[in-house]
Amino acid sequence: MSGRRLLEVEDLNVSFATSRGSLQAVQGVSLTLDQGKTLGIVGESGSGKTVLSRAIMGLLPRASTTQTGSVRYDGTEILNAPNDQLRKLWSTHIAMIFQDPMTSLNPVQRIGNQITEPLRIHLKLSKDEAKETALSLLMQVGIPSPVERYDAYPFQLSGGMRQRVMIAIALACAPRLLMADEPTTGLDVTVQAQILDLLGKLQHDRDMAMVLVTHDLGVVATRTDEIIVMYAGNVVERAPTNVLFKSMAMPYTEALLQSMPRIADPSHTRLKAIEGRPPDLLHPPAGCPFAPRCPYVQSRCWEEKPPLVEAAPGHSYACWYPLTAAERPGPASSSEPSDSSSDGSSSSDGSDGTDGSAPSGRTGQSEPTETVQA
Amino acid sequence: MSSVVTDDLAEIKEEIAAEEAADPTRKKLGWLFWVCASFIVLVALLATFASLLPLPNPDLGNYSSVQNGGPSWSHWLGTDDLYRDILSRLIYGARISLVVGFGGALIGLVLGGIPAMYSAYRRGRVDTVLNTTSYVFLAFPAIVAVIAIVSFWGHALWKITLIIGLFAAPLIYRIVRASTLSYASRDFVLAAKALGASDTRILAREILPNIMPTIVSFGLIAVATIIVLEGSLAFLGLSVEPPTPSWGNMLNEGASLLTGAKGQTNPWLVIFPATAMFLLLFCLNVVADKLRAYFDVTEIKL
Repeated sequence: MSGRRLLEVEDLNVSFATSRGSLQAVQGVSLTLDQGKTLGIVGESGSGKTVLSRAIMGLLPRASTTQTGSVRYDGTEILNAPNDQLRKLWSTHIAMIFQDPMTSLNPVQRIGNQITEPLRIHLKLSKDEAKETALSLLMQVGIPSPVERYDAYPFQLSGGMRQRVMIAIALACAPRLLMADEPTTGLDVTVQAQILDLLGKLQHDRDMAMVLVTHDLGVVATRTDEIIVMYAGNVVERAPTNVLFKSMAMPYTEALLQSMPRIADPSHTRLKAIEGRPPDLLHPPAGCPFAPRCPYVQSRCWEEKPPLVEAAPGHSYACWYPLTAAERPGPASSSEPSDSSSDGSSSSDGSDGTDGSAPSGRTGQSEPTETVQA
Repeated sequence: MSSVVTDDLAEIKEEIAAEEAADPTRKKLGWLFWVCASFIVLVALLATFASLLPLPNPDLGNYSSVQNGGPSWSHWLGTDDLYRDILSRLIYGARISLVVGFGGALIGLVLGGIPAMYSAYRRGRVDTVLNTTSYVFLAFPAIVAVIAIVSFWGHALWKITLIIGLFAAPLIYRIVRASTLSYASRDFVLAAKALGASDTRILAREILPNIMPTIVSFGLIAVATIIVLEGSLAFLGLSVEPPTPSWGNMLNEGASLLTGAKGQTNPWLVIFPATAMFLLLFCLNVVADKLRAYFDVTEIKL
């Protein structure tokens, strides 16, 4: 543990009251994040990533949601905290970058105004000081000729520029925790990499903690310290990044990885999509939520929901029949530099060795139960 | 070094300005807007400084002049049956129309607009109550209600303005609420909230500038509508007491001479106030429409 524990989420549940009943958008999520570290939250659309990040921020509408559990920022409980208390944290301690840079800037306010506003409210800077800081922020996020852009309106900037401005606004008051909710979804691929690299650099410069929410495993692969995979509002796998890519245990994680196009594949290779749809969260299934779409599904998966268990230090997953070493997708491990060690030499793989040593155990139920107890 | 940079900057700015000037697709308000806006300003200036102008007393006729005279050099727009100068009455009458029109719209905007923004942004019970109340008010025929109240409360200018403003409020409430709602859930509002902005600040800095074009153009149309409403009241003799002129009561008085019931006919008594009112309403509507088009983001040039 290099830095301080900044964020601690314990058993967070979020449900929305809808006309058809209560919708469990986030179920029993726990996570921790230390200063200077990056946590990736991965999952497909509707898996609850955005709701989770907004619940942590305290941005969900209070009237229509029920939020239970605990969210502690730097030791202080902030879940369901009054807006007045949160306002002191927002921007100066926790800031957020939103998904779509096209809609997240006020169309009728000049860029400069939008950056200097939080500076003037929270840091009580004078007009000139705020402008100076804003210009240096624009410079830091790589906006050419910041003096000109300072007086521009959002529609005069490209998508990538706007996302840079969003980042500048989020970083204006030097937050210690940055929530990036799919910061590159609205941008094209070349700009995506630029923005992510920029975020990584700024995070490193400022020793800031970051939560990177995305649906793209490729985005988080090289940029995070730990990854949480979410499915249907549940955390289904959680592991340090290198461990996850080496020894993923949850078939859903595998499916996510396989659904990404790979540059090494021959052209015209069919993309492997995940069949089916995520379950209806108004009527969550009794068993594993991924069971209907899982290629390895067995009878137990339909009946009992697998708990999230820590199989190895730092690596937890919710699966009755986790993937064995033989079943893990080859290209994933080959994309990792240390693929030769994934045979079982590393400590994390040692625990998975229990599964790997008994591939036939997948059909029986005794082996995974042992893993649960371990 | 630095002077070179600033020189470059100045050059770039000049180039941009030149490009913009040469761009034929650039949005313009157009000559009609400027003509109409000038007319409104002219009427407002004349009404404001009426007492400084060399005009005869609008309430007291000069009995040595012609009765019911047509336009002439001494009375440009003629005189009425009480020997009063019509131009003078028209200019003083504009005061009533403008005060009731702009005052009523302003009262409506304050009473309807501010609660609308809060209720649309915060939602909840207050919103439900205000929303329902606005429907109840709108279900009431405003002109009948205004006539009823004015006839027992009195005809003072401020009372008429206040009552009309009150009845304009629910309509303005609906318009402002609808446009606030369409912005309240936008990402940039949430982003501002996540930056720690207070509700009032979000309403004033994030939402208000976005709905301002709607408010301005609808506000001007409300002014026009209220001027007509005041005219109707005056025509029924329910606006300011005679002899104080207002365009509506001038029409009322003129109408009785139109048919020649008293043996005389003088169509000018009706033509001039009606034309004045028509021109003012036309100009208000043109200005409102041109402003809306000018600020409309969906009609953005490509």
